[in-house]
Amino acid sequence: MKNEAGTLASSFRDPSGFLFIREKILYRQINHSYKEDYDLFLSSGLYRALTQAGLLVRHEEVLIPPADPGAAYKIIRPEPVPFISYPYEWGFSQLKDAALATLRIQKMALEHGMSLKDSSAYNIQFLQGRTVFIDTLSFEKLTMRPWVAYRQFCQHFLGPLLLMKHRDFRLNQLARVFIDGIPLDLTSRLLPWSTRLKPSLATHIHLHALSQKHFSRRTVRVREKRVSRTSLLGIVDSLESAVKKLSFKLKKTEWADYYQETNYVPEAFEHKKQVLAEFLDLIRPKNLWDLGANTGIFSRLASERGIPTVSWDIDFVAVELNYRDCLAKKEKLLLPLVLDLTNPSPAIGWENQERRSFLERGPADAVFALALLHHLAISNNLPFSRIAAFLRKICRALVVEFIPKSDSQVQRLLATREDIFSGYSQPEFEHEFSRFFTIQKAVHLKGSERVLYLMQGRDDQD
Amino acid sequence: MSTVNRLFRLLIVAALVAMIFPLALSAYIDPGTGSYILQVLIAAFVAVSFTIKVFWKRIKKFFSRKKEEKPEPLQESADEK
Repeated sequence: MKNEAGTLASSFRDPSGFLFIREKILYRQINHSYKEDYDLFLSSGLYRALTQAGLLVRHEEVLIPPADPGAAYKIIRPEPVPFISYPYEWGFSQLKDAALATLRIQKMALEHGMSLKDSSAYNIQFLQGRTVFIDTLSFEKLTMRPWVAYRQFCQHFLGPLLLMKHRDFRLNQLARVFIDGIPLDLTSRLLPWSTRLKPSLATHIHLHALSQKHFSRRTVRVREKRVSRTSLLGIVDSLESAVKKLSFKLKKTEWADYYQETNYVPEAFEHKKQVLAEFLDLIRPKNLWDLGANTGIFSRLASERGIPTVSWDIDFVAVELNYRDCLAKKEKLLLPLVLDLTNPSPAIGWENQERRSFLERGPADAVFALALLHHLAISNNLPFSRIAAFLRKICRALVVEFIPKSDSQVQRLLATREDIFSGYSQPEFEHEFSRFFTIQKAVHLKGSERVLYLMQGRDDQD
Repeated sequence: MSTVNRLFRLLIVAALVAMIFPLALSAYIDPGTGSYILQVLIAAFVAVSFTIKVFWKRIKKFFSRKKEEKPEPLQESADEK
């Protein structure tokens, strides 16, 4: 989200500088007020150490007219991140990796005489299959004061991870409501009593929440408090051990269920893969969104062809398994994310502009909507016309699978409800989608009644 | 120092209270001060435990190196991709 001058609203809080877009390229202005810290960041060797470790986006200094010449010290051009995702779209392991990356960065900063001044989860993104820190202006000279971003770390990372582990993984959705992390008193109340018996959690969450409450109405001259570098390293180390201990375990049967889902008639499955591959070679998209991707089997047909792919699914466990696969196979171009298509990520923050909505981050060059239509049309009562209009908004080329009513998957959805979907037919589907797309190919999948379509978005849509 | 001591005693009592009663904050607060003070209070403790940990790692490393030259495999989580 940007204003007329091209300045991005995600960075307006920071007096050190801001992001702006000029001729479709993202730049960051560094203000004079941040000069000393920026120079130290480079001269201390921290920038080099972090980029070599793959923990920070690289940037280069450029000589272009600044967006705000009065305040400008330098302009840098950061390495672009192909897709910006948010913590409420991440699975457990993604948030855990983001947390550990933040702590490693803080450790390295402390070793170089600097410190992170904020540790928001929004500063971490996924680039080439790795967690990277994207805010180059978050480092300040070490002053031997308590870590200013400690509260933020507990709210953005430790608290949500604990809630996901000890209560329910869906609780990471609280991040959508609390943009600066889940308040610690809330986390403290929601966590099981047993977490109070673990010294690190008792301190970083429960005592922390209590301390916040106790001092909320008192004036304490905190600026004079000093702590040693060893203490600061100790705090980071303690947080790191607490995070590392957290793991998200699944029962064997749950694992099996997920891989079973895709294990329908082998002939149709193989044919589907083959047709999708042909479609991809035909359209050669610059990027792709796979909607309802499950564990990402079909997304990989795209990512393995060098197409940056986002693999969306409503199911947290599917996204978690997909991400673990990405790590195991060291996949660089696949990003699994959580999304409920019927209630996609909204724009949040100040003026609804700090974090962009799902739609604002599109359109994608191509979209896969495989085994998805019947969920939208039947489970969610969405007419084909609305689905087609929505899909046209988010892509240029569309690969969509039509599953007829006679299919067992559709019958399963209809089993518990009255069939009020007289319009759910292939001719009706083709008619409605043709208003927004030109149908280029339609292929019947062998051994099934399903049809795969390749469509191109029409520019003359109504 | 006496202020810190007083605060520390208070927090121990508060910690015990927290063990028994789950916490609810009703008013809108500035949580910054509490996060600062907590770090001051745990500073000495985390420094000592961190130093012991580092020291212990070095001892372990010293002996494991004597046994075999191979470096330990990284036990890091997924961040070590």
